[in-house]
Amino acid sequence: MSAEAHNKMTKQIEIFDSVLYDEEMPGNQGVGRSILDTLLADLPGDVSSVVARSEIERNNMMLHVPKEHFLAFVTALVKIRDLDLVSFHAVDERELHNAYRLYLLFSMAHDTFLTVTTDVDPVEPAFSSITPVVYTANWYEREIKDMLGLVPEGHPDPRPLVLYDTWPEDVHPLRKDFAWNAKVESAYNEYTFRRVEGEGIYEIPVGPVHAGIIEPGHFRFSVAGEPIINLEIRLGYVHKGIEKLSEQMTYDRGVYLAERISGDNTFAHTTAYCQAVEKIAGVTIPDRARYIRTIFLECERLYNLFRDVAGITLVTAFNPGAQMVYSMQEEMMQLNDCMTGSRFLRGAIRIGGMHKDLAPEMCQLVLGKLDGLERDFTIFTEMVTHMSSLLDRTQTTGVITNKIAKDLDFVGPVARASGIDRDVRRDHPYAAYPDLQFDVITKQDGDVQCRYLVKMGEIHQAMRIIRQAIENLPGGAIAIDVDDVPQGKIGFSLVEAPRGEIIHWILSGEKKPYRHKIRDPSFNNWLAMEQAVIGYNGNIVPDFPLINKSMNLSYSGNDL
Amino acid sequence: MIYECKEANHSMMFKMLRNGVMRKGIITTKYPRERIVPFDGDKGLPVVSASRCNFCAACAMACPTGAIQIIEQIVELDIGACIFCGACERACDQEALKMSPLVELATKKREGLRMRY
Repeated sequence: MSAEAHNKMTKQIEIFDSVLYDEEMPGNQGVGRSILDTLLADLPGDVSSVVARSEIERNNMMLHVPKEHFLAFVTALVKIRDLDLVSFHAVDERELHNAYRLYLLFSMAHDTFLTVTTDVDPVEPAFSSITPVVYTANWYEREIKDMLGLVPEGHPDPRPLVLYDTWPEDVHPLRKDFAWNAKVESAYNEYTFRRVEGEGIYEIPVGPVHAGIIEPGHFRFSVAGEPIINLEIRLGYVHKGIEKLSEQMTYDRGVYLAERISGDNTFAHTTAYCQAVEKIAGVTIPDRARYIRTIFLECERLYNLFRDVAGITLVTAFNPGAQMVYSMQEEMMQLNDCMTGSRFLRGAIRIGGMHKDLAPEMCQLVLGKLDGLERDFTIFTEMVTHMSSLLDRTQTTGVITNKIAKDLDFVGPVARASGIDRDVRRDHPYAAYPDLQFDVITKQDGDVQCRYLVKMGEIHQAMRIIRQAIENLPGGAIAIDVDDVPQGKIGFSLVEAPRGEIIHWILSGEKKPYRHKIRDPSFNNWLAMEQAVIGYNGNIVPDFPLINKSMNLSYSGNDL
Repeated sequence: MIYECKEANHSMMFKMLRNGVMRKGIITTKYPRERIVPFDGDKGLPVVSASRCNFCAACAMACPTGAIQIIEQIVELDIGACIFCGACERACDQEALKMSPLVELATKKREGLRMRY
């Protein structure tokens, strides 16, 4: 390794206190090993002794635990460490070692990850639920039960989650013996909603078809007059079997599939997918590609956040202001179109780099556009932050307390508005973010106003990042060929999308993913909606559209 | 005063009737109100240059949705299946296939979405 490269690496470690290492630096492996050793040393002796085997790959530590000790181990683990659950999913590995394997993925400090795995015997497809200790595992376990038929024993709410009511109960699409194009007989399953009973309690069912012909989802409100007592959200109406489809597609085709997971987070999803595959292949993409990816990611964030801010403004009945920002969103989308030929930045990225380059004149165009947008947006920000009619509506509406946000691992602007200082761009840096300066915007109160301010602040930060990236844009190639993707390896990648962190987790098979797990931020944050609308803060039914707009979650991203 | 008001309303009503408010049948306006000017890099209809194409089927292999078929020296493109990703353009060695900026591709019948080159 050259002295220059070594200096750069040391600098990065100094900046981020990172333990990310590559194979050329054997010393770094020791850092990862020592973190694992301290983790195991902190556990009580009888708990740490159940670890059947441990291994470290890059910044991910894998601990394999027998099924009977799984719950006890996880319980002890979350007691001693502040862990964020990133994903919990299962893989049908019966062909490989005659068992299903559960992967429980935590994110830790210093850009490290911890994966706890356990094997589930196909003869007895059940495991003890960890939801009572890790609350976030709730939906993940229900998803595992639907898609792979592994029963979480002791789960407080074992109803179906992702599959539609007509799907037969004993058919599990992510099992390997289920053909991806198989047709299934319609069944009739009754889904029972939670009931709130008492004098004067009424239910208001809304959806799945909504007034604006947006995506489908059912909302069941229980109300006492105007105040909302309970909200239950039922999703899954647009379940498309993306994870199963992806197992049939070669990696280069999978990029096009990833583009279509959630329509307005196209670039974030494809970046996560490409980074996961690149990690498995062990390639480093050219610097220029890293920077261009960053620029496009931030362009996507800009148009998404403009739309969110406009949406909140519109619902508070400040129509002229909303139209101002909607026009900015349109300008951003036209800029995307001009840069890549697609308003949604589709077809710009590939595994190993980029398809689209940024010409110097295009960079100048972007910088000029950003100056105009920032000037207009600053005027708008100053106007709305002191507007009493708007503040009346947004302050103390839809509060998510810091504790709830922490317990349920909410992500993205929703979490940051509740005082959670987490941003994947800083905590698990990727693309060109390690080289760029930006602030993570957090607010404490967790109401609609805080989410509004966080989103407005992130717009300014996104512009700051784009300017820096264009200023420091390195020359050179924009892509390298990735021909060989080894089999049986795990690669995953976190990307901060406009709504929060996206995870793509891939276990590689022959030229295709053997298992591709995708988690969109909306999967976490739909539960935030259920919490935010409850009426003990004084929320009434007409507050729901405002709270909904302040989060602006994706149905399609949730219903994979 | 009241009389004047009524008269004003009446004249308004007649004006609207003259403009066709109550008229039945098909009323269309001219499309488009202003012509869309596409950007240089806009990805629209893939166009095949028949003189350059050597029917190697690289585009058909690259297409992620199977929208391109090569049948006896004819390139058949199903625009209903096209996702305008540009994979075919990148796969073409002969530079025979190009993404054009044409985006107004609506047809009255589904068969109209099948293009033959």
